[in-house]
Amino acid sequence: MRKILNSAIAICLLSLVWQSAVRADIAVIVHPDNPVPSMTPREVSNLYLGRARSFSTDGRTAPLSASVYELPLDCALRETFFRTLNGMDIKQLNAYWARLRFSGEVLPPATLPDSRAVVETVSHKRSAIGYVDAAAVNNAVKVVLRLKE
Amino acid sequence: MREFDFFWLHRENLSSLFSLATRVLLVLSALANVPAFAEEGLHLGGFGTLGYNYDNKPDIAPARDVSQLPKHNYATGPGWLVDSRVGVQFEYGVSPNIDLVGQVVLRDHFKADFDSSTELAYVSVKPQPQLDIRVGRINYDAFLMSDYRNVGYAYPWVRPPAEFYGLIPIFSVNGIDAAYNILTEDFLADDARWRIKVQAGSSRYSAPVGSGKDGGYDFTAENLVGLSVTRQTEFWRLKMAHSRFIVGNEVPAFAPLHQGLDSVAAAGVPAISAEAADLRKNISFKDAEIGYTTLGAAYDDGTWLAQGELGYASSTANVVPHGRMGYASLGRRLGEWMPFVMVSTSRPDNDVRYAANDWGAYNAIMRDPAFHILNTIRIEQNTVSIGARWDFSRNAALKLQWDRTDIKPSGYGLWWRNPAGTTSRVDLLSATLDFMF
Repeated sequence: MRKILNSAIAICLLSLVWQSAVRADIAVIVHPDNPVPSMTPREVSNLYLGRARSFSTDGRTAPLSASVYELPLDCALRETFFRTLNGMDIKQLNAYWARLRFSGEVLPPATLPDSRAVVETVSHKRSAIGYVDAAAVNNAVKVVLRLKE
Repeated sequence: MREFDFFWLHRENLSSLFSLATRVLLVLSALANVPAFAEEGLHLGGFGTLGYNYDNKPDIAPARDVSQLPKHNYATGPGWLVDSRVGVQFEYGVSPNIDLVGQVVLRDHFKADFDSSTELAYVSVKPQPQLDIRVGRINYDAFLMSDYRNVGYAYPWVRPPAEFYGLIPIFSVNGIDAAYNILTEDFLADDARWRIKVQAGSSRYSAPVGSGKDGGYDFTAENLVGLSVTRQTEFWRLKMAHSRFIVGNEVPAFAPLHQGLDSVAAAGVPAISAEAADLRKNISFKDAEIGYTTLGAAYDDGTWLAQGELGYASSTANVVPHGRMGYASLGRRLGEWMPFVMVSTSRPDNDVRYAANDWGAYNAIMRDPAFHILNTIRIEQNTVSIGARWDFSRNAALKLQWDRTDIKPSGYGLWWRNPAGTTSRVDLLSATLDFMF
C-alpha cells in the first residue's frame, strides 16, 4: 500500500512539474469526512481572509471549525490562488494580513511548504482546508472548489 | 534610539504579570529555531519602518505623537527618529485554542525601556470558535487604526494623521478583552463579519511633560474600559468605538504650581480665589476622566482605497488635550503605485484662556504660567497631505509624502516650538521604507 502511495506521489510530483508549465487549475481540498459537499469562492475567501472560522453547514449539525492551511508568502501558487479566488493582489493581501496579524486580531493560517504537504496534512485532519495544484490531488482528500486560471 | 536604555535596567518597574510574560518571551526566543508547520509551535514575524523627514522651519519640530521629545527640542532638524521603528512578534500555539503572543517595538518615545517597548504580551483563548479572550498586555482598541499604528506596511500613508492619532499615545493596555465574531448575510447578500469587542484594564506611558534632566511624567490610565463594534464586508470596514479611563497620577513638575494655586484658592479673595480654584482643577491630570469616541470607515476594492474617521475626545480637565478631530483620505492603485491625498483637522474643545483678574505679585509666578500651560496643550490645526506608496516588492513599500500644516494661534499642542517663534504654516516632507517579514 505504502509503495503504491509513494509511486502515486511521485506521479503527482511529475504531473505537477508538467502541469505548472501549462498553468494548472487550483483545487480547494478538505478531508473526505468533512460534511461540506462543495464551497463557493466567497466561502473559501472568508476562511482565507480570517473573516469566517467554521465551515458553513446546513444548521442541523454543529459548525465544524476550520484549520486553514496556507502556502509560503512568496509562493507563485498563492498569488494565483488569491487572484482567481477573490481578485486580491498579493501585495494588497500581505498588507491586509499585516494589519490582522500585528494587531493580534487574527493570527495567520499555518503555512505548509508545498502542495504535496497540503494534501498530506488535509488527508489526516478532519477540520483542515487547503488549496493545491489540482494535479496534486489524490483520493485521500475531497475537492470542494476548483478554480480555473 | 536616543533614550533607549538597555532592556534590563528597568526590571524593577515591571509588574509581576509582565515579568512572567518576559520569561515566556525569553523561553520562546530560545526555541526560535524550532520549525513550525502546524498551528502548534512557534511563529516569528515582524515589521518595520525606516523613515526620514524634513521640515522647512527652524523654530518648530514635529512629533508623531505627544510621547516623542525631539533631541534638540524645536531646533531639531531633519532626521530619522520620528517615524523609524521596528517590531518583532512571537506567536506560540499551545493548542488549537490557546496562543501566546508577544510583540516588542523599538521606536522613539520618551523614556523608552523594555516595559514601554513591549506592545503585546498576552495569552489568547478561544473557549468557543467565535469568541476570542485575551489576557495580559493587549493593544488599545480606541479608534479605527489604534491597534496597528506602528505597522506602516499596513496603511498607505507615512503615518496615521497626527491630528487624529497624535494626541493619544496609549498603545497597549494591561488587562483583558473579549471579542465575539459573527458572520451574517446582509441585505445586499454580501457576507458581513461583525466583531464586538469589550476591553478593560490600565495603561501607562512616559510623556515629556515638565521635562528636564529628571523631568517627565509617567502617565497612568486607570479603570480603562472600551467597547467597539466593527463590521467587515468584502470592501468595507466600519467601526464604532468608545473608550474611557481615569488618569491615575499627577505631573511631578506641577507640584509647586498646584500648591500655589491651592493657597490662592483658599485665601478667600473674591474672584481671584475662584479663578485659582478653576485653574487648579483644569491643570490637574490626576482624576481627570477621559473619553474617546470614534466613527470610522475604510474602503478597499483593490483599485480605490478610501478611509475616514470622525472622533471626539473629552476630558474633565483642560490640561489633557481633547476636542473634535477628523480625517479623510483617498488613494488609487495604479499597478505598483498608489498616489493618495488626505485632509485632517483637529479642533480643541477648550477655548484659549486669558486672565480675568490681577493677582499682583503672583501674576508672573503662578497666574501666567497656569494659563500658559492650558493654552499650550491645545491642538488646533489642519493638514493637507499628498503622497504615494510604491509596492516595489511583495513585503516592502516605499512611501513619499508631503504635509502642509496650518496651525492656529495657541494650537501648537502637537509641535515642539520656540515660544518666540512665529511659524504658523509648516511643510513636512517624509520618506519611509515600510516592510514586514
